[in-house]
Amino acid sequence: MLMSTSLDTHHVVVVLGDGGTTDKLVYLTNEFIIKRGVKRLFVHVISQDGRPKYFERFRNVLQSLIHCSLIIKYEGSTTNDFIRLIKSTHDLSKLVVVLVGEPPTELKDFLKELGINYISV
Amino acid sequence: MPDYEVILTSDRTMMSNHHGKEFLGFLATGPAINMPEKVWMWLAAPKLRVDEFGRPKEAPYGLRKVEAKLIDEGFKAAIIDPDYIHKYLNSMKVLMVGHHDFFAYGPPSIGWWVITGKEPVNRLSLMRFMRSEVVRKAKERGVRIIVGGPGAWQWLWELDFWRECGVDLVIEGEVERVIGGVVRKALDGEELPDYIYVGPSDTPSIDEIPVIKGGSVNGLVEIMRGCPRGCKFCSVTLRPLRFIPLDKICEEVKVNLRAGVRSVILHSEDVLLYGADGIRPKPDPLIKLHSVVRDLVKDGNIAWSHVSLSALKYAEENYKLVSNIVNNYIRVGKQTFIGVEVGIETGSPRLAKIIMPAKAAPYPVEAWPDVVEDAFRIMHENYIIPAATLILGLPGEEPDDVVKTAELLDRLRPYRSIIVPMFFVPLGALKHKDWFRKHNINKEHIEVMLRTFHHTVYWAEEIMEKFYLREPYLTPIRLGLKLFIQYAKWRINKLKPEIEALIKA
Repeated sequence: MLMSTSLDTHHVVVVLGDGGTTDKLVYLTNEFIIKRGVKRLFVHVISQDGRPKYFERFRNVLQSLIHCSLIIKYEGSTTNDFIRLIKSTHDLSKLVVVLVGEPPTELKDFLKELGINYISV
Repeated sequence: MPDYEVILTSDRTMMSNHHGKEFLGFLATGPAINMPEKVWMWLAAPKLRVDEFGRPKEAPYGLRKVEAKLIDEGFKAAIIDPDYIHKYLNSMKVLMVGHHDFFAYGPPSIGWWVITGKEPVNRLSLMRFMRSEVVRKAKERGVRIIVGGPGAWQWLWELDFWRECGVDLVIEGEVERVIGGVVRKALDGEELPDYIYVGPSDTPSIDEIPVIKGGSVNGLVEIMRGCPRGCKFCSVTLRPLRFIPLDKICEEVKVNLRAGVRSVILHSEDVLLYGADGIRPKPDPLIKLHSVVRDLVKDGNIAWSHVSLSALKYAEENYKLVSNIVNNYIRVGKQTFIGVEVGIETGSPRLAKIIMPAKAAPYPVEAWPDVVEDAFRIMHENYIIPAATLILGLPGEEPDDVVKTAELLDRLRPYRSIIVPMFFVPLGALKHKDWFRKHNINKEHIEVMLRTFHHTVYWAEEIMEKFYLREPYLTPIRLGLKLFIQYAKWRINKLKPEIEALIKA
């Protein structure tokens, strides 16, 4: 079901850092959805813009994704929030992390430490 | 007093039966013009009858579906009129607000807003409700607020207001399959996401769509979901086509009859495609549907929500189906006409080919203006009164396309109809495109708006004289509308020199 984190729900963590635009994120997400045949996408958002202000930079992504179900959830604004989120994830191999703009250095270090690949846009 | 945990509601513009005349509801999409807002609201959206617990006798159909689903899944849920929510402050744990046009960004609200520069009353009314003491108190008590419906996307453009109201979740799409899980999480105090969009793969099957438990506004009953035409400006077309079985339709008509609602609005994006073979109407399912519904409502009114002009032309020219249905099942007893919404959208075959390539099917898209005129003639001859829409500012539109729309309007002049120009709103496959704004209006658009105004005023007077609002208790409404039309004519005449100068410039 849509609300559960079932196997057919794909998870993406988007970190909205300083600057950067979400235009490339739109393109990449669409490509990801088509390639993997995604029917449900759960997007976890880390942003200093706060909730629900982060949608200002994010709504063009929502508007272009009309062919799959979407769940968008704000997870916090700090590197610690990000670390907490990653640590609570059971299967890191399936996780997709997207960094928009310039994220804090310690966040990148943390990803390197855990060996998690990320996409920068 | 029932102890409902989940309260579903909306603001007054939605929670009204518009004096039993669905078309009057359109007044709620405009601003109050030349009269106090209270009077305008009374014209557009009077209060509904409620029972001792504040449960309305009629309620918006979408809310009724969600209510039914929640009740079926064991929740203590009910639709409550916005004036009675305070009675449930002690028991309420989730407040669900539904709307099809929360902030007047949808068509036609946005058009009236741009043209008049005044906020439409549906926006004012919704914002007033969300800022009301009862909603504030509910929030203070920890009630989770969920907003949803076809207009849910508009919250993405009202982020400050979202935060001010403390909305927990915005949900959009056909929610039957997921709403129980969402409400369960809300009741259990679990974290909720901020936004859910239910995509095509999670749309409910026929079996998952519940039968409503209480009356719907003006007896609206859904007969199918989805649309096969694939027009790019429309979001409905993304969803799979499903026909609601006749027994379920009948059950819902009976629910309405028990609630004292004696009329029926058969709702679909294209009523004449009920039981159809692709985009070709089939006589048997349609005749059966109308026959069964007429038997149930006896001398009550039957209306259609929407039909496509091409399906209407095809049905009449191939089977005499339109005249058959109208003469044998609709214009019987006291009913003298049937109202319906139709989409013209453009008079330009070039633009139609880009934006709505299957709208004319099974006829070629190049013949779109002829299809429109033929359908209007058939409707005129059969006492079907359409409220037709045009869309100005469609992506890719050129001045010549708008000229073609103006020319088509001239061809439609002999046919009884209301035609309303709307500004393009990015929805469906065109969701990522830009809005049509005031600075985009050119002289061709002004010409089209003027022609629709003259067309609509001419026919509105005739329609009110012979068909509409004839019931004695509606005399004040009829007089009010007549006065409004006279005022609008006077105002346009006064502006004529300026408008002509604009067109010549």
